[in-house]
Amino acid sequence: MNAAAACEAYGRMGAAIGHTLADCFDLAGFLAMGGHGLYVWLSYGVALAVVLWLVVSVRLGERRLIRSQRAEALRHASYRAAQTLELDDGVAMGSPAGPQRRPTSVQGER
Amino acid sequence: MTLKELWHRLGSPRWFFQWSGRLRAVLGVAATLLLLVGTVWGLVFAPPDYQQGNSFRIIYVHVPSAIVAQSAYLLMGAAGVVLLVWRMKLADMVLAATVPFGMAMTALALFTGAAWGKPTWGAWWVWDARTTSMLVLLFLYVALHALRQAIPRAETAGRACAVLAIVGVINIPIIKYSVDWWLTLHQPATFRLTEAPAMPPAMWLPLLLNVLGVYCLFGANLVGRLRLQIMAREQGTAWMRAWLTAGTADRGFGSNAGSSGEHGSEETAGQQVEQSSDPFSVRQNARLSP
Repeated sequence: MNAAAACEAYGRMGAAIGHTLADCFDLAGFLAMGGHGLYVWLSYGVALAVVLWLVVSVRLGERRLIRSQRAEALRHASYRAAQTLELDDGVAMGSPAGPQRRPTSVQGER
Repeated sequence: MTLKELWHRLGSPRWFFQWSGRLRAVLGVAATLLLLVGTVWGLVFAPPDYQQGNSFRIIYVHVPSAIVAQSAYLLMGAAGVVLLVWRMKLADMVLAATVPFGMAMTALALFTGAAWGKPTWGAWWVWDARTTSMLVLLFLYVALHALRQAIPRAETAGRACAVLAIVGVINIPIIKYSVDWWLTLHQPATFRLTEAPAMPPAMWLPLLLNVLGVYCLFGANLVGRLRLQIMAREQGTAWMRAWLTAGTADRGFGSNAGSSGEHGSEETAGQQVEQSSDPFSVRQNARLSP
């Protein structure tokens, strides 16, 4: 069965007769693009690279920002929780600066 | 929501951030589908051109990228006007966030034009009116990028970029009408709103899909970059912290963000107080907690 007949059969019956899509599709001819393969594939290749760069650069930037800023936000939240706890214990009560006062000595601080 | 309310809300990056994650996802899916179908259709199923053979398939990359590169510039011109007249923060962000996409698409249009010109005109590059004015567009994008990098104060940089973007809009009609005003090598427009296309549908339908797809891609990319800008500029504000700690960052705006401070001015005042009241580092926190 030649390629054209295989294609016709494929159109009617599909893979049931044992022919794959490759029988209907001239891959070498497709890649050659009638002698213009270099220009066509160069264009599509560069387009793919450009689109991927555009998408990936946003994704990476987002991941980096979320990672660093989330750490900061969690530190802030735990600081807030600690502050509330101190107030409840009455430790910070009576301090003129209230919850915003700095500790007088901090271990490990330069 | 009336149009006036919408206009005022656009002044709030927080409001935009709340719903734009979903918008970006929708645009991203639409772009993927449209570009996939359009590209496969154009590469495999569209019939070859009767004169150019298969090299004409470059059109499915060349025309969409060239169209969206010019639209992106027009958007920047509009954002420039909005920034200069209304001082809207979001307009400045649009101005900055459009540049990478516009630059990439202009470069892609020029490159694919060269790859198409070689087999069709016999040269990679000709100093024809259309190609030269597109090269000017690329230089404008590069200039906008460089200008923002060169000015350290963000507000001044934004205003300078707005002026350059507005002045550069003059280049867009020059690109559009270059093929009519001058006797150039470049062919005239493929699509016209007033006439039926000269191609058969099997040729222009994939082109239409790719044009729509690249607009969706532009939208998704712009929204993504705007969100990056908002995250960078609003770092340390109460609502951004709430969003970051609300669980998975991708599910949009967290529910525990609080309902107060919906309007711009009150919000920023509250945020600044909050920021200044946080002089503690990690180690100090460790000591404070029981």
